[in-house]
Amino acid sequence: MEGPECNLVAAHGGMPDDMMIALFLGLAPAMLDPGRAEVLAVVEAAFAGIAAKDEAAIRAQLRPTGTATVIMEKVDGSRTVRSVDLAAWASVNPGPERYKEQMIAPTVAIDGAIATVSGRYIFSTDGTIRHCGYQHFDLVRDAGIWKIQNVTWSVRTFGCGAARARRK
Amino acid sequence: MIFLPLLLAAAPAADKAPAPVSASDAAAVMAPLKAWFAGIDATDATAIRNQIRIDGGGGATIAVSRPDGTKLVRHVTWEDYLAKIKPGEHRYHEQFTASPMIQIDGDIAMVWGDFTLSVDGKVATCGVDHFDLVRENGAWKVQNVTWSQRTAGCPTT
Repeated sequence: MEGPECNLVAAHGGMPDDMMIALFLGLAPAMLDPGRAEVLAVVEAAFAGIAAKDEAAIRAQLRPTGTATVIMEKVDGSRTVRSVDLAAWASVNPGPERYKEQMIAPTVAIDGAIATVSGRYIFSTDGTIRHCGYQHFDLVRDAGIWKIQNVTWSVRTFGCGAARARRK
Repeated sequence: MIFLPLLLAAAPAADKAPAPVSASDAAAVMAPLKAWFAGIDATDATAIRNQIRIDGGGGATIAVSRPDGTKLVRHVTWEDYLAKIKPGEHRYHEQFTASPMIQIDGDIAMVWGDFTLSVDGKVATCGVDHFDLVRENGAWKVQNVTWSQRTAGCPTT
């Protein structure tokens, strides 16, 4: 990596938090600025809550009003759209499975107190990719704290093979 | 309105780089927003309602920055939003002031772009409109909208 941003990251020593977030979300650390890192940290915290099956940790990243909208894409080409209250997005199965969700090189845009994080994602259970798709977070900053206002995502159980092969 | 689509993620593989949005796909996503803005210009709540996924439970979220530096975030239901769209003594006009960023993946789209809202021919507020759209039964509709709103530093036209 070249440029002053990289030097600033390296000067911290070890692995700064924003770099850890960047690696998890598939971003180049040098591309992060503080505002971008703050927004991504909210999504990363929600994903950490999913991995820990900690509904309170997930809910802590959500605003009280909002929607979670999922588009299920089936192999036969049929699709269904379903919206629920955002709080439902925090529900996790209490079983023994280990979950991991991550986004791949998401796009982040910020204007004042609104932001978006969007891009491809993969969802794994016990280390095996179960589904993938596109995910779009809508965030707002209220009283200085970024939270998720809405989330929309697609679910595909096919076509995720390229991601699976890369991670073997 | 000029479309300059930036990103598309229509290919099924999870880790392929997004491809550019085609002009026809961008036009399809922008059509309900164009109709929405026309509805604002005409203070026609029905025209706007027709662009909304009204049963999707979504709404509008506004992040207001006041000249004195205070900030406010509020969320309104679609019905509350639409109730405020009614003919009156003022003329409104909303437009994107630059080509918005558009992402499309299957039946999900997002549009993010600078806007101005004029009242009686004079820019009153500006900010960024962020539309969350889904395609259902072949039609793109707005699931949610969020916008930043300020009165300082806005373009004059």
